[in-house]
Amino acid sequence: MIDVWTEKHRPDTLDKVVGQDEITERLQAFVEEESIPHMLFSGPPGTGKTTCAVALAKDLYGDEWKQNFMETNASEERGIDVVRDKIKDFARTKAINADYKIIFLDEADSLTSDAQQALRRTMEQFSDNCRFIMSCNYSSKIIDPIQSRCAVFRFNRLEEEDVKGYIQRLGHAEDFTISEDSVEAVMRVSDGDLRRVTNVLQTAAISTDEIEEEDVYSVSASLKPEEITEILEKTLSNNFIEARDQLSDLMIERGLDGQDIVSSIHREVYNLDITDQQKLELIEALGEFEFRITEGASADVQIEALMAKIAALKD
Amino acid sequence: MWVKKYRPETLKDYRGASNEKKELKEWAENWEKGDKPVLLHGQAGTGKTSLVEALANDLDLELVETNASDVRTKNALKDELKEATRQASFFGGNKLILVDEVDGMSGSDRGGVSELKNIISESRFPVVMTANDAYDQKIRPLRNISRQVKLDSVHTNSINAHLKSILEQEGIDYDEGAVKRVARRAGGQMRSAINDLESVALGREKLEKQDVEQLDQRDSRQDIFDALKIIFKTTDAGNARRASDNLDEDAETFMQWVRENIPREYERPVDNEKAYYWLSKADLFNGRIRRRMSWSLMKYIYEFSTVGVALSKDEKYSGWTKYQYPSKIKKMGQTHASRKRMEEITSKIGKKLHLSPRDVKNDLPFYSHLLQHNEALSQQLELEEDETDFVRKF
Repeated sequence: MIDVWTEKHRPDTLDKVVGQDEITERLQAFVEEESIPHMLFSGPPGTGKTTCAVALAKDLYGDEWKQNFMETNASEERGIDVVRDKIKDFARTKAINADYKIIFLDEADSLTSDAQQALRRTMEQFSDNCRFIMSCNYSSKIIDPIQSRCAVFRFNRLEEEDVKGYIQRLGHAEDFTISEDSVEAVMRVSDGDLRRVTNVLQTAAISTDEIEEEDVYSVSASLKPEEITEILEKTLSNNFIEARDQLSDLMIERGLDGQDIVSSIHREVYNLDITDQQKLELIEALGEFEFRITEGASADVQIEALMAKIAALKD
Repeated sequence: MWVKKYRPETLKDYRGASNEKKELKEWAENWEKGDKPVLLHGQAGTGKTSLVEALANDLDLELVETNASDVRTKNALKDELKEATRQASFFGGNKLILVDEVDGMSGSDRGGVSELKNIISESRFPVVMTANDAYDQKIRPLRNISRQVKLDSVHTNSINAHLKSILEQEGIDYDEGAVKRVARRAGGQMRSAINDLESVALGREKLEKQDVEQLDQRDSRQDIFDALKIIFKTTDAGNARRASDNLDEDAETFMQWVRENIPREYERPVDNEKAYYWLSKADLFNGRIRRRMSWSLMKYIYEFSTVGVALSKDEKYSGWTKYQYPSKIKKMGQTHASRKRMEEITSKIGKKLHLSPRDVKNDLPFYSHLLQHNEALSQQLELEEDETDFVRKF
């Protein structure tokens, strides 16, 4: 057992998955029929994509799930060829007590369209004895030939009621109590992302078993990259070059993803010391820059252009 | 000319590039009709032609050299090359065909490139093409049919050693520091190092430090600094546009230089904002070009990052700005090892937790926190002690 709650409390079977009732119902029907199509799971982080894939494998294969299920990441640093080799190796041998194996390919939307084409050919090559489940944040970034071969499932942000119920169950299991207000606070800082909910609670529970509202806020502040706030503050106080250096440390050394940084900045904009009109302007610019990144622009230059805009606000 | 006199005769004499030497040798030895030609690329003066000559010598192949930038028309190419690639060697042995500087073919001569491609694909003998820039759009058809071998710029130590051996063979005594200085200022180009050495040492008994000082900087960065100066100091569109003419740097490197120095020159935030507006546009176009291979958009990259950036200031800044080498390029080099480590550790943790490395990186402060408070966890995640320490730092 691993003492990381997201893993420790990850449901073993589809009927215990939090929320996404319509999806789990469909998946359970597939398991009953023992007929699994290729699938595309699309949706924001922390909504259950990986959990559903793992639970489906466990429901379908029972004890043999580990032999018949492979999890791999499309954004493998060493390139798409490494991913394809892994898939080929895995697909070469027959499934144990089953007709086919399942390959779960995380972050499929990080692949360029050329790499996706290559992946499509690999899918076809092995579709006799393998099924693919791909996960992505945005299905629009997956090329049509792949989408059309898959059953597409859209994972929505979890309903408040589902998250609240989960928090209560977690409290039982891990021996902490949490006030009504603190639950609200958890909801606010985690944006329907169940992984973030869980991480916030686990961190808070390290120092107290009665979690209060201010615990939630201080913990969540310590969990997000503080540097983002610092970078924005430096930008506003006319230290552009320093702020830029810090951003590049975050992206190059820490290896944080550009799109994730844009999201963090997005959350911070409303806390900045600027007028509401200016906040709106920044959000508009953020939208443009985020779109450009999906178009192939480099995240660091685009984020710096945003910072340059922020720096000019105070002029 | 020392460059000619001290050309390596054999692969063994050729300094550095041991992997590339091996790769080329294996390729040439096993080549059969229908196999891919080689596109050997690397910046000027890295020794591409010398390497091919040494290869031919070693394998006892007759080397047939054509320089693509001399042979400009289709007909001329046909004559020179078709013959060579079809006819057996006059001396009865095998041949190695060298088509030098394919990226030097005149841009308008598109027919030339496709003719070249056809001739090469039907060659009876192995063909090596050389190019400074393998990603030059006009040689794309050639790149696509070739096996690419890249020669990196030559390490200063290798240059240094070669220069010393030349001086020894010439019987010229030397000061270690003086030679090192010649080696260093060559910027990885063996050819310019030897030319420099010849110009300062020929006819002397001993090469001293002060002899080297008179040497002109033959540094490719000189050009980029001039270009930056024009962009940042002018407010005239025509001038700015010409700044990127004759630059050695490719578009991406050029943008990095501009990016690095925008806030260093433009101290007024409004100017900085405008300049970044144009640079980020250039960057967007670069993304589109790479994604869709729309090379015709390339001109906009240059226009946005020269004219756009130049016209971003309301008035010129007086005074002198120290333009700096792009920190991104520097940082990528310096952090190679630690980035690799980050990738390994986050992917190791990710595997245990059904998470992607990206998820783990984003939540690194969280895992750091847990590892600090839970002794058992690092064992559960099967982390080594130094890996645990690495995460705890965040």
